Amino acid sequence: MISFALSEEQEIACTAAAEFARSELAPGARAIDEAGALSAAALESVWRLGIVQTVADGAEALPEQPTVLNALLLEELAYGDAAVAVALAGPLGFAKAIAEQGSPRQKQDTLPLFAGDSPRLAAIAHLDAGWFQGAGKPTRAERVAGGYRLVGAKALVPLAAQCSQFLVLAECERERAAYVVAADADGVKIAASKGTLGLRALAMADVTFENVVVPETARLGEAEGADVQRIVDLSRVALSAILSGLARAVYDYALPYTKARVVHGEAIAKKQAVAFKLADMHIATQAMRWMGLRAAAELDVATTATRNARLAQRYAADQGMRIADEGVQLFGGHGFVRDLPLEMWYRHARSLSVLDGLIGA
Amino acid sequence: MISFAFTRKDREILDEARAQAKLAAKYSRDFEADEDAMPPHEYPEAAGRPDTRELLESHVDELSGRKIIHALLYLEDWYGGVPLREARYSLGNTVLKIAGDPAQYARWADKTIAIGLTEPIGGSDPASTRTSATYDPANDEWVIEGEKIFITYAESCDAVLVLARMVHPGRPRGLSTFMVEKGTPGFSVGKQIRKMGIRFEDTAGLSFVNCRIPAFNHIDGDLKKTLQSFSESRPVVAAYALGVSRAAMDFTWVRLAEIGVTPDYNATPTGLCAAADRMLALEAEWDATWITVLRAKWIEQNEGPGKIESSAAKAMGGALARKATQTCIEVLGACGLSAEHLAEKWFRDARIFDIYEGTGEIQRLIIAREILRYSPKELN
Repeated sequence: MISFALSEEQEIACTAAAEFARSELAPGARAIDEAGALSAAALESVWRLGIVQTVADGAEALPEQPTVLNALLLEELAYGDAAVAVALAGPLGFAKAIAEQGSPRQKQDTLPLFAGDSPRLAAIAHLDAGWFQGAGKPTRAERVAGGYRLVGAKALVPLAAQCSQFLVLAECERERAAYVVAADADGVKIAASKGTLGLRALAMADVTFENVVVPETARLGEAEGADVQRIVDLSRVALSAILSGLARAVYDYALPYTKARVVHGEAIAKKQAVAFKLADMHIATQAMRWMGLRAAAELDVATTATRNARLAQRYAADQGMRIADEGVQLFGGHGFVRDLPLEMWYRHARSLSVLDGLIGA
Repeated sequence: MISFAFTRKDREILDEARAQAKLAAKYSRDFEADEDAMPPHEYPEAAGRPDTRELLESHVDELSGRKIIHALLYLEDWYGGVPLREARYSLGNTVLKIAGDPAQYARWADKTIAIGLTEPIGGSDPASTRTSATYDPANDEWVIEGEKIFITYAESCDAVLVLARMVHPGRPRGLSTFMVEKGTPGFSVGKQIRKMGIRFEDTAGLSFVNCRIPAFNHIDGDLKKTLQSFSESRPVVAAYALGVSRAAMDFTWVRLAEIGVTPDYNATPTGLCAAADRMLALEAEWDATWITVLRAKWIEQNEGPGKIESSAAKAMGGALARKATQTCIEVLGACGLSAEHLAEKWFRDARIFDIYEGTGEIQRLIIAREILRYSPKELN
């Protein structure tokens, strides 16, 4: 039965997250971007929303449509600050993969770490995602006595230096698998952050896996294995949700400005060239949001939603970039200066639209 | 709870509609050479197959929403290129339903009613309407004078609902609608218009010279409500666009598969060939349009027509149809151009969707006025 109505529970959660994003995240977004570091206070406050804990705490009953709910919440957080939304979506994707596909032992060992009151960071490292890692560099997992050897790298892992664990997605004997790797395991090298175009607060850094040997028990699902595609699909849902929130923030910020900004004796919003841009922004923010939620809803009833998740992410990446671009343009010179958020959103949008497979919903 | 899964009955009706569209596809070129020909009420292949629109009406309770599935039936019609069974339902019918009184509705409910809106001077701006309806108190009649162009179903309809400027001693000069039946003296239909595409669609101009109609034929509804019918039909036109675009994209994927190019939803940008990359961009745009059409119809079903959502659907559909058919031809190369295949026809047909029932620009104007809270005077 086709329905576009959020449940009451989802509405309430969204309202709370939206309020939090506006009052707590948005005001601090510029400062953490300039600092190139996420403040402990920001991380703690977003952690207190309990989004990761709900996934990690096996004792708690899961909400109805957990992926839809997470997508809605990430969208609201990203409306305030996309960087913080990504910061949370790292451990969220990690914990969700363990909770859904981990062996009983893996759940027992790992999930309690993510169910507590203090922030705990982790990320998904999709070894073959991103051509920029360098052509010809081997990215694979090999079977060795008693376990697996991981060789490869993942570029630009959010908050890499603070992650306690990585979920490495790699191919082993032509089959895709996921491995839980401790950040302090031998051979895991976390490079210094060199800074990035956008999402600077995440201090993204390359993580290299140099012959990292993990035991058999590190393979997600252990003997049963895991459906890696689901993890990838969830990451795309998370990205499209975050891009949707960012796009909506740009639109909401730009619209009143165009009504207030007078040029040649008239508000620029009264000119079709500007008004039509706003109409197109509005159309796309809605379409990208619902495409993402459609993929999320599918992932709540099926193991994978590869087509819909990919298309949602692709559309959100294209439109998110376009909307952030128009946001800068509508503000003219003010769009280019760092006093206002437009240029930051522009950098964020491009950064989000080239990231894949690091986070989850 | 949000859900994008069809009910079993939705699926059953839409599957039947797709099967019928595939049967109709072989007729879709029949009107290329003879534009004056009218599609039959139904093709022989329709025999023994259920009428999908009747199925819809008889299982309303088992659907995701009558209006949602109704719109998607048009997607299927256009997927085939020409309806296997004519819908016999036009925009004039919608206006009658919204604005007519019960006696008027009863009189014309089973007729095909075209809408007479566009005039030589323009279609996008109803305020510029020049056709007049002058009240004649001696005979309790209205006298219609004027000309309409680009009227869909002009020849095959039973009556036209004409938008005209009222001239009445006791009433302000405003726009209103008048039902003019075929055969009314003074009402004539012009020749079929020669078009780039949609040649199976019956399109002609109308002329009214001292055309007298009884007072009963004045559909004296609120004009705002009348124009609201466009909010209902706009997502339907977007559904047309989805149908033609889908047909073009499906055909292109089939040809691409012959040379080993298939959709890969996991490939990175460097892992896709240019053709596949462009096709995936179209797939994303198709889905974005599809969900927007569904949302517009869902809102209409549950809360009444949403002005912004309906225009958004139409704007997206119009843009998609242009881009999809243009891209597919380019990807297909020679077999896209050749009249041996349908791609070139889809390219010509699809171009109308961003024009009729409000151009893409008009849709953006409507949306912009709503989101900016500007009156038509403030933003035009």
